[in-house]
Amino acid sequence: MLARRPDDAVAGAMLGAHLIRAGWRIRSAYRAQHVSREQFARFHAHLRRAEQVLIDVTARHPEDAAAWTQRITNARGLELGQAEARRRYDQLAKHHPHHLPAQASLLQQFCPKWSGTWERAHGFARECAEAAPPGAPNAVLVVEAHLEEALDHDDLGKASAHLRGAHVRREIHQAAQQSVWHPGFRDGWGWVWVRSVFAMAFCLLEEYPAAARQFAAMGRLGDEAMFGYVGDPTRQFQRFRDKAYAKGGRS
Amino acid sequence: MIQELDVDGVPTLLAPTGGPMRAGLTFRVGTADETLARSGITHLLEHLALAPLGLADYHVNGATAPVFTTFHMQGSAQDIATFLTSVCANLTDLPTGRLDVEKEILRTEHSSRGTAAVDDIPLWRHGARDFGITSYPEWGLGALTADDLRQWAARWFTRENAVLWIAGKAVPAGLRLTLPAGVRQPVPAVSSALPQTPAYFVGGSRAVVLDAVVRRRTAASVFAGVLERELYRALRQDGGLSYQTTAGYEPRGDGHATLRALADALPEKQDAVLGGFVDTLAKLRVGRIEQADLDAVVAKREDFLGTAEVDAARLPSYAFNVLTGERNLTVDEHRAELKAVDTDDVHEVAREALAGALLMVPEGHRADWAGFAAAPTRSADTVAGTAYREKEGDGELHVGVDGVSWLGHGGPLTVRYAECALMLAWPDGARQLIGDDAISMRIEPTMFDLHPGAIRVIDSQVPADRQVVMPARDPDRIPQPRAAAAGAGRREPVKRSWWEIPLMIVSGLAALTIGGGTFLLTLGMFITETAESDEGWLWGVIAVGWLLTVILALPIVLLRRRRR
Repeated sequence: MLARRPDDAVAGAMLGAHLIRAGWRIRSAYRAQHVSREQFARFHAHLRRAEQVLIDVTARHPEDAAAWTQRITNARGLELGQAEARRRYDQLAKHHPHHLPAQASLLQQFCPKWSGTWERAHGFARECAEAAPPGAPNAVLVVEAHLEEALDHDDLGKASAHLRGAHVRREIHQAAQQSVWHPGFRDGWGWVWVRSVFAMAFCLLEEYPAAARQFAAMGRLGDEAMFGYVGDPTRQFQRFRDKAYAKGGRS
Repeated sequence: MIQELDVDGVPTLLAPTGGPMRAGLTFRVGTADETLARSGITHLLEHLALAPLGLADYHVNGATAPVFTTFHMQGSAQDIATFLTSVCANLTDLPTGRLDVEKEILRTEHSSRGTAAVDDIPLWRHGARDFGITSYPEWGLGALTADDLRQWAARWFTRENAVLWIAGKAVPAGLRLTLPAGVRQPVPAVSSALPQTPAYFVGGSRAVVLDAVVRRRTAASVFAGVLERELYRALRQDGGLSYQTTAGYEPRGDGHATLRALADALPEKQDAVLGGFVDTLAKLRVGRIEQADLDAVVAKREDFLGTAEVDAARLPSYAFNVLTGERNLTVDEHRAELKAVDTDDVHEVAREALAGALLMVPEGHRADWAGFAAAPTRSADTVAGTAYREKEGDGELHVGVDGVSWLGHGGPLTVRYAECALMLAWPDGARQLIGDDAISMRIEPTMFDLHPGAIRVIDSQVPADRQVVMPARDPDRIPQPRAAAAGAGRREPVKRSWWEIPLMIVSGLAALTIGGGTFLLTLGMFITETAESDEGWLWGVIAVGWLLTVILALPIVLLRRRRR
C-alpha cells in the first residue's frame, strides 16, 4: 500500500505503529537486564524502520496526530531523549492542543523510569489538565502520574499510603471534578481507560463507592490500564472491581 | 561589466567600484593538491611570499583554501602595484632565509587557531588525502626544504595558473607580474571515505552540521537559502532550540558544490536540535518547499545583482571560475536563471543533497534511527602478521608484510603500508599510522610485548616520503601500563602507625572479657532454670553482650586486613 501511495498518511502511520508494536513484542516487557543482546538488536531494527516511515509521514502531513503520537512513543524506545520527545509533542500540539494519547505517551517519557523526573511528570500532567476544556478527559493524566509514582513502591500498602496523602488525594479529586465527575464528561475516545484509571485510584484511596461508580459506568467493559503493574491485568481488574462492589455497593 | 585583460601573460579581470581600490592574485593551488606528509607547503609558500613585505599596517592578506591561494590588497594604485609586483618577485626568488621563522609562525598560528565545529568534516568525507587534508595539522612543515618549496612554486605559481582581478578604474601603472611559465592545473580528483550515504559521525561539538555535495547550479544555491530559512524557523523561531542556524553553498571547482548547514544547541536541547534538523531535511526531501521561502531567497539575490557594486563584488568568484574552467554568467544571465528556479528544481536539489549527505551529530547521539549509516570508525579487514599482545587488556597488534592491524577495543583497525598517508615517528619508538581512508592507529611500544625489530619492520615498509619525525616527548606523556605502575606500588612497605599494635591488644582483651562473660551466661541460660520474668531480661543482656564482643573484635580484623 505504502509503496504505491507513499503520501498516504493513514497507511504510513499504521505501518509505523505495526513495526513499533512488533519491535516491542520482540523486546518483551521484561526489564532491560532480562532482554538478550540479539533481542535488543532486532527490537531496535524494527523501531528504526518504523521511525523512517513515520519521519516521511510527518514530513508530508505535519498535522497527522496518529503519526506524531507514534513518533513520541518511538522516541522512548529509541532513547532519543527528553527534549526530542517534547519537541515531537509540541509539533503535534500546534495542530491538536489536547491530544490525550500523545500526552499519555509523553507522560511515560517524563517518568523517572524513562530518565525523567517526578516533578516533570506531574508538571506536564497538570499543564495538560489545566489547558483542557471542562469535562475533557485529560485530567486523568494527573491521576496516572500519581499512580505511576505510587506504584513505584513495590508494595500495594505503600502505594495506597502514598495516594492517601492529603495533597495527592486533593489533586485526584480535583482531576475527577474536571473530568469524570464533570457534568460535561462524555464517554469519548479512551473513556474506558480513563474510568479504569480513576477506578483503580479510588480503590487504592479506599474510596470504594467512588470506585464502584466508575466500574459500574463501564458495565461489562474494562481497560487493563495500570492494573498490569500489580499482577495479571485482567485478574487484578476483576479483583479490584469485586472489592469496590463489595465495599462500595453497586448503584 | 567585467573586462577581461592580460597583464604579463596573466588573465586579468577588471571591474569598476565606488569604494576603495582592491586587487587579488589568485592561483589554482591549495591544500587539496598536497599530500598529508607534505601538508602545509602551500600555506608556507604564501607566508614566505608575504614575509619580506613588512606591510603590517596595510590591508593585505594571503589565504590558502583547498583549491586556490590568493594574495589580496586594498589601497592606492601605487601600493597595489608595488605589493603584487613584490609578491611575484618573492614567489620566483623565494626569501628562503626566513624559512624556519615562518615555519614557527605557522605552528603558532595552528595552535592558537580555535577549532571550528566543521573542521573535522572533510576527513570523514574524503579521508587523509586531497579534499580531506584541510582537517589535519600541517604535519609536513618540519621536513620541508628550500628546494621543496622552489619546486612547488615552479609547478603551481605560474602565469598560466594565475588570475589577477582588480576592482578599480584601471590596471595600476608599473605593475609587473614576473611569473614563470607553466600550465593551468586541473582541480584534483575527489576521494571518498564513505562506503555508504547518507552517513553520520559523532563530532566533538554541540552543533548539528549537514555536509552535502550537489551538482553546481543556480537552483542548488537557492536551496541553501531555503534550507537556512527552514532551519531558522524550526530550530530558533519555533522551538528556541538553537541560537545559530546557517546554511552555505560553495562551488568546489569540479562542477560540484559543497552545501553546509549548521545549527548549534544548548547542552540539554541537543537531542531536540538533531530531531528538528532531521525533520527539516525530511520536509524538503519529500518536496514541501515553501514558495514564500523560494521567493524571498530569489528576491535577496536579485537585490544583490541590482547593486552598482555587483561586478566588483563577484570578482573573486569570477576569477575562481576562470581558474577552474567553469562557466561565468553575466548579471543578466544570473537573473534569468534565478527567475527560472521553481519549487520542483529546489526539491530535486534537496533529494540529491540528502542522498549523499554526511551529518555531524553531537557527542552521545546517533542518527541511524533517521536512516543515516554510521561512517566507518574501523577497518573492514585485517592483515596477517606477527602478533604482539597488549600488556593489559586483550588487544593484539599484527605487524605484517602488507601492513599493520589492531585487533581489540575500538578495532579492527588496519593501515596497509601502500595506503599509508602518513606515519608520525617519535624518538621514543612510538608510531602513528594514518591510512588514506583516515583510519588512524597509534603504536605505543611501552604498551605491548613488542619485539624491538617490529618497529624497524614498520619503518622499513612505510615509504620514506610518508614519514614525519616528531620532536621528543616529555616522559610524562609516554603512556605506561597500569599494571606496572601498580606493581611498583605493591613493593612499597605499608606504613604502620605506632598505635596499631596497642589498639589490637586492648580491643582483643576487651573482646575476650565481654565475649567470655556472655558465653558463660548463655551457657547458664540453657542449663539452669530461671524465673519466667527474669528470662526476657537476661536474654537481652546476652544479645547486648554478643554485640559488644563483635564491635570490640572489629578493629583487630580491620587492622589485620590492612597489614596483609
